[in-house]
Formats: sequence, structure tokens, C-alpha cells
Amino acid sequence: MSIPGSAAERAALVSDAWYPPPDAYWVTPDAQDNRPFRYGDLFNAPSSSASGQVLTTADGAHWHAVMVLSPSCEVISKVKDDSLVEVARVVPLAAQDPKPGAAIVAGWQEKDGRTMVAYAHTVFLAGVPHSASHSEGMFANLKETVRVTMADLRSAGRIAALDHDARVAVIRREIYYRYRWLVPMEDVHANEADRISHDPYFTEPRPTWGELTRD
Amino acid sequence: MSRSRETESALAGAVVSGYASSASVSSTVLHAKTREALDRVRDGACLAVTHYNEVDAYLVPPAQLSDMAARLNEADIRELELRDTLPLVLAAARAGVAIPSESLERIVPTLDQSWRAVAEFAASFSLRLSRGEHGEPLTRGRLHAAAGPIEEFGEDDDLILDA
Repeated sequence: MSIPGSAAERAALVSDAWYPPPDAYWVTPDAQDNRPFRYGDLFNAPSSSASGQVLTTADGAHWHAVMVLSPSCEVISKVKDDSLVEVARVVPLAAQDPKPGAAIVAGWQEKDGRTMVAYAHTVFLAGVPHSASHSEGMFANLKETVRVTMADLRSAGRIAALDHDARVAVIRREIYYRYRWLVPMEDVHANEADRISHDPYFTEPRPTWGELTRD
Repeated sequence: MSRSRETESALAGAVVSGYASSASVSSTVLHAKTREALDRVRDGACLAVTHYNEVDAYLVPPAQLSDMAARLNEADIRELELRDTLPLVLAAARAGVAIPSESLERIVPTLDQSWRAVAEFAASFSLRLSRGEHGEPLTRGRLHAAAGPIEEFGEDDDLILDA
């Protein structure tokens, strides 16, 4: 076993925050109207999943919200009413104790001098400023996912559209959760930029860092 | 005293009772009775090799040497982790934000616990994650873009997914 080498080598390792600042998550209501549904968007929870599971809490209340987990292309170009979309359950932070709540917000927890990844199955979502019902912090639980029909999701309604930069953060967190690969934000961003800039069918508007490249 | 008795006496005088204990043997004795000295070491002794009453080297059993190396390595890693963590904790204390930190909780137990304050701090402070959820080492990956559009084929409708 060897310790990390030079200072430069250590600096090259991952040192990114998991998430962007709260005000960088959601596009404004005006801009939202021009955004197609995409991975990471926040929706009201449909009343039931495609398999008939009722999406309520033990108390009978509707799930707080759901976050789209299906790739964006599956909720844009290939969408039909009966298309199935994977979503993750979204839970309000207010329901958590303060300590685990803070660890979910940061995505890490310091313990015994070590900065450990915290609750890897969670994705912190900032409150939506323009939503009365979802203005406080939340998190998506990647362990609790269901498939819903596109018609039900559309009918439930989108609460907020995730900004492209914040989507990069969500993708990175999901990569860590799925495969336990801690990948630098820079790499995820570069891959997403490369993907979008080479996709002539990418539904506008493009992020500034994803202008179409003609090879 | 014969050379052999000298050696025996020197080695017998080496009180060996475990990892931390050590005894000494002169380089002359070691040269003359290498086998006995190595037997002692193999039995778990750490022997200081002296030359004119100055310690020149230590003979350590291989297992103990690798254990010591591993401990030193761990100590180095721990020092690096602490060095990475302390600025984070101190910055949070200065900012008055209750980041998820046991160290901070011990230093300043009452701080701003709002999710927004924690989120803003966490988004702006550069940190180095050192361990996974359960303290396991992290796998650090790099993703390299495969440039150009990637063609995909197939629709769910082509498949019988409910069989």
C-alpha cells in the first residue's frame, strides 16, 4: 500500500463539492417553459406507478415528489403516453434529524478526521424558490425508484427543471452510487459537453458549453 | 571468556518478550554467531547491532518489519487526512455553519443548521473525500470522452419485457 504521492498528484484527485450552490439548481419559471423534460427534473408524484403501486407514505399522503432518472432522450424524443419512465422518490429534508440532514446536503460527513461520502444513495436537491410546496431542501432516494407512465408524469406536472450544470452534479452522484466510482466533476462535465455538442438532435436550448460541433 | 561464551552470554542477555522489546548484539558477536542471532530474531526478538557501543542497525523479524511499515504508512495517510480536514472544520467554525463534522460538533456545538447554509458552504469549499460510506477506500476514476455521436439501436417495443 502506498500513500498518495506528490502534492500535485493529490491535488489532481477529486476535490469537488458534490453539489452546486442552492440557487444554481433550477431554471426560472420563464425559462422552464422552454425546457423539455429531462433527467433530473422534479415532478409531482403520480398517484400510482405503472405497476399499480400506490405512491403514498405510510400515512396515506402523496409522495413529496419524484426526480426523473430515465435518460433525457427517453422523456423527449422517444416519448409516448404509455412510455415508461424511471423516477426516484424525493423526500423532504425537514423530515430528517438535523445531523443526517446536513450530511445529505453536503454529500459527505467528517468523522475521526476523515471526510467520508455520506448516504451515497441520496441526491440533495435544493428547494425550488418559485414553488410554494417545494421551497425547502429535499433529496432523491436512488434506492427507491419506480416506473411511471409518461402520461401520468405529465399529468402530475413538473415542479422544476434542473439546470444543465446541476444535472452534471446529479449524474456524477449517480455514477458514484451505481458503481462507487468517484469521478472528478470536471470529467463528468467534459463528457456531458462532448455528448451534447456532438448531438445534432439535442433539444434546445443548449448549455453555453454544449454548442453544436460539426466534425 | 571464549568467543563462543561471549556470544552466548550476549544473546542470552537479550531479553526478548515481544514486539516492542529489543536487545543488542555487537557487530563482532553478530559476525561470529550469526546463526544464533538470526534464530533470536526469527523467534520474535528485535536486536540492535552495535559497533563500539553505538547502534548501527537493527535486526527485525520480517513480519514485524512489514507491520511497522504498514503502521507508518497508515500514520502518514492519517496525517494527510487530518491536514485535509482541519481547514474545512476551521472554515466552517469561522463561517458559523454546522457542516456534518464530528470534530466541528465538539468544537462548536451550536451553529447554523439550516440546509441552505450547509449547502452554500459545501458547494463553495474545496475538500478531498478520503473514504467511502463505511470507511472503505475510494475508487477514483477518470472518464475520457469518446468523441463523436454514438448511434443507438432498438426500442423497448421490439422486446418482450413481460415474459
